[in-house]
Amino acid sequence: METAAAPTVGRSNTAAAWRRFRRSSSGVFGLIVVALLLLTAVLAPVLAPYDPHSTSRAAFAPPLAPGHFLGTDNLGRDVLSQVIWGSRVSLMVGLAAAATATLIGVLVGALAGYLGGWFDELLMRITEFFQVIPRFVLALIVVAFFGSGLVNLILVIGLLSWPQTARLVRSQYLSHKTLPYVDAGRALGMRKFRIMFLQILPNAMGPVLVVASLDVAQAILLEASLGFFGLGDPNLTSWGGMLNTAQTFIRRAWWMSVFPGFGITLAVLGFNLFGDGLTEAYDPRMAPR
Amino acid sequence: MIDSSQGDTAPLRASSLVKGRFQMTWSTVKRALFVFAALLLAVPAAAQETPVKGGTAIVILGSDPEHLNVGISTSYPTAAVGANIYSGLVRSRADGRPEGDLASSWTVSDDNLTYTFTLRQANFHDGTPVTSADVVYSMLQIEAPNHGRFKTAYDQIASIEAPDAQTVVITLKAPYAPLLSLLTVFDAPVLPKHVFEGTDPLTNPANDAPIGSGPFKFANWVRGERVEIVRNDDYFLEEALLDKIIFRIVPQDVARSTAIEVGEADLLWGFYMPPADLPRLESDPNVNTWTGITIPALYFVFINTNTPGLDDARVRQAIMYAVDREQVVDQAQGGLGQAGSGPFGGGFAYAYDESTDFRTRYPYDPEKAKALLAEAGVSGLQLRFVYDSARGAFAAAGDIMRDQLRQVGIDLVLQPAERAVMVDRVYSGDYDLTMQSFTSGGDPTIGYHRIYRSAAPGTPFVNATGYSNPDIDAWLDQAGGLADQDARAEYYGKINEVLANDVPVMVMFDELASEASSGNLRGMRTLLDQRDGLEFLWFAPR
Repeated sequence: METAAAPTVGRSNTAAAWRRFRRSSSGVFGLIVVALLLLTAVLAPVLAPYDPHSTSRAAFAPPLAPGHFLGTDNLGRDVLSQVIWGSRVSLMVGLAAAATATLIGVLVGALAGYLGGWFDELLMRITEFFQVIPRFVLALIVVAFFGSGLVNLILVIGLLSWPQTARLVRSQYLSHKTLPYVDAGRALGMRKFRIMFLQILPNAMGPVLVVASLDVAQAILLEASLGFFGLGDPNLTSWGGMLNTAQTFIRRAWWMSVFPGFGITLAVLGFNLFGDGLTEAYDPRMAPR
Repeated sequence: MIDSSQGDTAPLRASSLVKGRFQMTWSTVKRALFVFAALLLAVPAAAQETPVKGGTAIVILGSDPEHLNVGISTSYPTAAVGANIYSGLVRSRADGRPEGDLASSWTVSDDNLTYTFTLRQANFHDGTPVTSADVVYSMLQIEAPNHGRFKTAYDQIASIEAPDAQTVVITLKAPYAPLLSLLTVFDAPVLPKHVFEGTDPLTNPANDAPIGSGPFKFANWVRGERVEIVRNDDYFLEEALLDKIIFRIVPQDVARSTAIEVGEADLLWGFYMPPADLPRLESDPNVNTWTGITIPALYFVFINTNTPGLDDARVRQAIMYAVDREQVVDQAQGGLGQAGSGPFGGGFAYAYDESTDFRTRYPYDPEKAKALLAEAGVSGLQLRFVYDSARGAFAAAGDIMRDQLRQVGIDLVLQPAERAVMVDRVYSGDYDLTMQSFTSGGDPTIGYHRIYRSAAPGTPFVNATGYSNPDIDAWLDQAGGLADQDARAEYYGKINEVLANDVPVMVMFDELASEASSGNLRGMRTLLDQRDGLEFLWFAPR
């Protein structure tokens, strides 16, 4: 079976992946959404017409009210500005948490998959332990105890999201370590860690990126859920936090919930579709012909 | 008679509202008009109605009681259930007038030092008669060591004695005006001595399945879900009209008002009311609503005078000028309040001074605040605002304060914390600003003196600001010992003058109480505390 030449990562391979990605219309749509969100987050201070924390006597102004395109909330804060600033927290938590999860996942998966033996057993039991913990419940408890600063949120979500990546990376390593190019490396006297991270890792990264992009979506959702339950950082404007305030006023001011809700939907959808596109790009068997 | 000082407080409170001594916000006025109109419509109808017996009412609680023993806790849900299971010596009618509960009558000696109570013939729910020994045991062994407010009263008491089975004599160290209002079921419930004797009252199993002598008997408690109490057919006063009351625990704000709207529950008190939902409930033809003043509750922002910067009175004054308390009332409290008027609020006429009214003395004036900060040489101040994360109004007030303090160059960092953590932090001094709400029964002595009197850090719910002024301490003691209100007013005047200048505490607002109930529920608020007197509830036939 595995007599094929070692896959190499080079310009041609990346180019082929990009070509396949472009053919996936949902992937391209996801990429555009993600790019726009990133742009919004980076340019928030320029784009937002008001400071998101700035209150006023003009509470509950409906959308299209003069000066407030998406209306104002219960404290007279501009909803549009809050939605724009909210994208920062969502994306920052999403990306940083997914990066944390990927880092841990790759490390654990690579060590378990390549070294094998009792070490593999041990790491996989730990992984399973983290996998069966109800993430949301544990996140609630941790945030309730240690506070809900941005760094805490990122660490909590990141530390609870890595098992899937770890298992995926482990399976990649299990199949790659029997391939001829790995044998060749070993025969050349390369050190274990060089083989693991410089030889195998680049070849195993495709599926990892797919999972990472889905992790971003999951992390955004988890952050929003924590915020919705009032456990976000009240010093930062976040979509989940806006929803938390809005639930009390849902019948009086629908715009307080609809717009941050739309932001969350868009971000989660964007990263999911982007992930779909990546799947098609790195797994030609799934790509449309 | 004995209790003129007590009876007076409530009418004064009510009239103070009507005379417009408060600057009413438009929403308050609208609400008042609405209530007035509702009264006009309701009175003739109510007059024709005669109470009928039977039925089950569902009352909403926002959180599960920790236990049901009112004698060892001032917790709101504990007292809501417990007050209807236990009895006190006296109870307060809705107008603040005290009347006999377990005591059929009482006399007061001419020197105002000795109160002699005569008990009624009454039985506990297990059939044992209630005697003076139970009263003395409850007060000395259970409430004096464990009950936050009764402890305060006990400091003024020289002895509590039972000369015979039906008589209780309380002797004071010095005249103490609020004594009677501290002998209700909320502060000094009469617990069965035979159940508690020889046990630790904090861990006695009867705390979870109480045996009292009140109008209802404990029936069932499903933790986190509901507590059920049933009519006591052997009650010594008016027998309860309802067969049963179910206290349903509904932790979600929104779910509470919805439960009333869809008829799943019958009674929702202001303590658990999401202020934002009140206008909607008011417009619902199937729901009756009420707003007004019962037990005055004050919302304070404590300023930690040990924080560098905040030790300067000018900086604290700057904070007073920088925060628009009217906006906090309107937006964070949904209009259900009146911007704070003084250290003891507007509820006690003798403790209020027009000349030091915070609203005229410290109007919203960011420029003045900046000038004061500059004068004090303080800049770049960063302050932590610690509050109970479960209180939505505190969070909203924090959002407003953060915005307004930023205008004058103070950076406010919001730090919500779970209640137990918050209490621990605030009362050990680990905060800069914090928002707290206090009630004070029928007298400022009961709840508010502790906020201003010098105290060592570490005791929950007493002075947390680190502010200490021997003059204030002495005046508070003198004002608390006098029965004559004019004499008390003199001391409160001095206190108000000093505190208005030193402002260790920003009084945010006086809360207006509210209530929503299903359209055919009657008999609410017969007694002063909304939670008390549920035996008067009944359903009008539809």
